[in-house]
Amino acid sequence: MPADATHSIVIANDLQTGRSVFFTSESSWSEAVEQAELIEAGDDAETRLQAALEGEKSNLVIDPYLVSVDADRQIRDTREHIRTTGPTIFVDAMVADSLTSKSSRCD
Amino acid sequence: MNGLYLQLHAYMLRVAIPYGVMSSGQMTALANIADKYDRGYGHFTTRQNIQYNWPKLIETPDILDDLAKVQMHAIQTSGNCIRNITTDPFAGVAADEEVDPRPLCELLRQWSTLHPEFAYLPRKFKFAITGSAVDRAAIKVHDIGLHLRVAADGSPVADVWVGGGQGRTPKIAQLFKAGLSVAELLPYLEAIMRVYNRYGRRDNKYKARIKILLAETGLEALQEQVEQERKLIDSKSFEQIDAELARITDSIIKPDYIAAADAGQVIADAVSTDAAFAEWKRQNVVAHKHEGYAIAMISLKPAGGIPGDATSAQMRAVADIAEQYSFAELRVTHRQNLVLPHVKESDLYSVWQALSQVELAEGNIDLPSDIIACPGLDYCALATARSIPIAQAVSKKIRHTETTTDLSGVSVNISGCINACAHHHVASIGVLGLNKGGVENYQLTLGGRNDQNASIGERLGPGVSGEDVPEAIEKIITIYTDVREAGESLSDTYDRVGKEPFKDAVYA
Repeated sequence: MPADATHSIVIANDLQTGRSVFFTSESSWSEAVEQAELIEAGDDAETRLQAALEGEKSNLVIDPYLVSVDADRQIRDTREHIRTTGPTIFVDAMVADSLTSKSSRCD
Repeated sequence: MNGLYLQLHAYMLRVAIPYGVMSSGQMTALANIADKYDRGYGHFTTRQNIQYNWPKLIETPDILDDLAKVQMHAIQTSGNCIRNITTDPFAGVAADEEVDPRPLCELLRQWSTLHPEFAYLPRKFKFAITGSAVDRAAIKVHDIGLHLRVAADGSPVADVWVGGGQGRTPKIAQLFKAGLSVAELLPYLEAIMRVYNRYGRRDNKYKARIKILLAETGLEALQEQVEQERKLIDSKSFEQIDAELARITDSIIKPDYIAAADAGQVIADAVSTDAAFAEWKRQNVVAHKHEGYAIAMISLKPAGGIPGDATSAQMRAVADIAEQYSFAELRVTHRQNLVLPHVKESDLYSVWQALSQVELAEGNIDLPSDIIACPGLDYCALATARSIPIAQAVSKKIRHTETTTDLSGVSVNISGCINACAHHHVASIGVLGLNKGGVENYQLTLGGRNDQNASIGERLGPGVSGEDVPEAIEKIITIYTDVREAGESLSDTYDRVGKEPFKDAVYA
């Protein structure tokens, strides 16, 4: 865990859609990282991960695991950041926008 | 084996385009799928397939149903099996072609699809076939590469190259069997597959490809094992090969070519009045074996664009253009571009104008901005660094230079991890994205080739940051143009002058 990563969240993929989802304090799953339960360093992160793994047993999600974040839910690791926020592809370079109404690649 | 992967933030479905050949109707169906189930675009791949980046698992059966309606599927686009057979995108139409590889591609497709013995190999297995002396299918970096040629007696034969590949242990294939008759080819390939299936390593997936088996066993010993295995295969099972090849050959649609009157003058007039068309014709149009026709390549590499991506609108437009101008046929290249294989020379300007309407008229085929890039860390669960944004930045930076300077001897391939899906090892300038202490870092390699003189690029020096990659590539190109001799590619120049001038420029 990076020195400034004081917290963690649980991330997984939704089984049916494949989208990145986050474990909430209500032990449900949300596509909004803002709704992710912020697990403080002193908390028992492993206990919350075990609770999240129930979602895998119930065929709701795939491969839940803990990701380090800071107090503002900012993820420092590039891979996990992209996984949370989506592709970083330059919007201004896309030729698609004028050609199709369904080219929202950077959401 | 069904082409569905869970990637970083979505599923990815890879659809097979057998040897990269498809019809206008199939392209339209792919566009419809992009709109109906994905986000309105698709990504054409180095195995001449297409990938969708956002399908939902629950909708995948419906996608497969829609694919089946146009005789397409996703079978064997993943898994440890024989993957899509790839070939020269100009197969059957190239002016320099000796043997049309498409019938053999189709024969191998039928043989390898759902072959019960080869559904669980030690690792994935890739074939590529060329029928020209100039290799446009990269056969020497495949598990098995086949070079079809005409023997002295006039019959078609195949040279069998084995053990090529990229990834973390790049290897150039070795000539395994020369001059094999086409009738004998299939049982011989089956013998190779059986030996690989039996002795290929299953204890370590990084050492499971046939290139490792060849390296560990030795060429002669492996050849002998294959010869012994061949003796055990009942030739009666393959007695119908010639007849089946003849049937397949007859089934390939032969365009009803007609002579095009005054094509030369029509095109000459357009070239003289439209510089952008002149550039496109110079870079994207290739000689056709039938007089009066041309092969027109469609670049999916606009400067600053995403290599290999096409929107559904572009796919529909290309399908319509193929319908009107290319006997409703299209090809996908292993460099992630498209091909209109049968265009009347007199129609070239009309085709270019139609492509311009959908931003597909870039005249940069085989120039540095014609970058191969894998999905990288923006999509791929295996990637260690991003490749698409790097490709976008590089093509933006160098596109202007290549319009004023001959850079046809430079290729740039960018992989987002050591698996080398973007073939960085065999580019004259290869870029490999890695993760160094949590930060993306890019190694540069120089001197690779993917043609009949295939070679593996050499690492230039320490990795650089992503934002430094475009400038580093620009410096390498400057050194090349400063010191090259007539006719030299960048890799030729690198071989002659060595690493130092390039290294000095990049790390100064």
